[in-house]
Amino acid sequence: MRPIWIIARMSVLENSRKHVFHVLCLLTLALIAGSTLLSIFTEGVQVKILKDLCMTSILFGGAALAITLGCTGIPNDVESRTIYPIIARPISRAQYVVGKFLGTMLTVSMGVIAMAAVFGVLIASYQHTFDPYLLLAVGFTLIEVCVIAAISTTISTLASPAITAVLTFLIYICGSIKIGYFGGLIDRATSGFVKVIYAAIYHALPNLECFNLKTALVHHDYVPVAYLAQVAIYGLCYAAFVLFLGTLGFARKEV
Amino acid sequence: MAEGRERKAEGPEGKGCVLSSPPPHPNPNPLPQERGYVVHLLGAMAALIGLCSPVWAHGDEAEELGHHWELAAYIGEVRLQLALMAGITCAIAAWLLAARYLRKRGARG
Repeated sequence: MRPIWIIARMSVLENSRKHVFHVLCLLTLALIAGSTLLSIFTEGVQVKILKDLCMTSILFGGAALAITLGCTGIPNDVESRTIYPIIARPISRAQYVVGKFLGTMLTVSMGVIAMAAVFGVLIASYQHTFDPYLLLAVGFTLIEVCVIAAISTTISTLASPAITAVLTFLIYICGSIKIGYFGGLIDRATSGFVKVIYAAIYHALPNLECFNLKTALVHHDYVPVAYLAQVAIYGLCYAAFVLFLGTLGFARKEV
Repeated sequence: MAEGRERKAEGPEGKGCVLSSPPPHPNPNPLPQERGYVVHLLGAMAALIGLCSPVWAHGDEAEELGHHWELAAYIGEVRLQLALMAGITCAIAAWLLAARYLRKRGARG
């Protein structure tokens, strides 16, 4: 565990100095602050619109951070050749990949927690009370971001940063509309072969929509605890599985 | 610009001779590589969003899809994927163990 932690700490330091991290955090914070202006026009449902806009901003900000930081971590080390002294030490490549992922995840978590803190203060100032659903919604957003960061890190072990970012973003979009759109595509497919291809893509894509508890936060809907527990376990398992595949691929790669 | 490429210098005999141009002076404000990535990424993401915008709308099921915890399709897919991941992980682990065993056996015999 110690080598993983050391790599993660160095990765956090490296990521937190990147301009992309600061720009995306500030942009999302500006969006959260700006949503108060937009919600003024919606009399009566001001807080609901505010929650909706802020949660969307946090989700997109977190996903953008996970994609941009995850896709540059390992390729930058390979390109600048700083990976050689690292893998020359008694550190396995799997530990290196997991450490990089943890570093990315910790950095993204710092950003998301900062955004959530501003959002919490805004909501508290409107409602004059703390909303416990906020913690739930932000927690599941972090799990979603964890899955995206794992996908980004895994693809970055095999591809260039630009390709990684585009692929991860595509997977993020497709995962967000998986049940609603791809489910219908399988039903509409007439050819058996096409149906099999669609089904393979469908079952490989992460089910990201199930982490979205924005509606529950806005309307204070009851969400079954068993569902939440299964979804949380699913998110962590999916991230671990994707990282496992990434470590397998990276172990055989020439750097 | 020509002065930059060729400059005259005094040779040992005092005659002027043309020296080859020095290496180009590094740009004092180089565009960071990260910024280039970000510009490309933003362009690609904007194009992807533009292409995928029609599918963001879920149509008549928007109300239902907002309450995904009430739909059996979501939790069913979650359970199926958990089972698939467990199966694939076990298969890969078994394959790796078998490969290691065969390698050891080959090394001995």
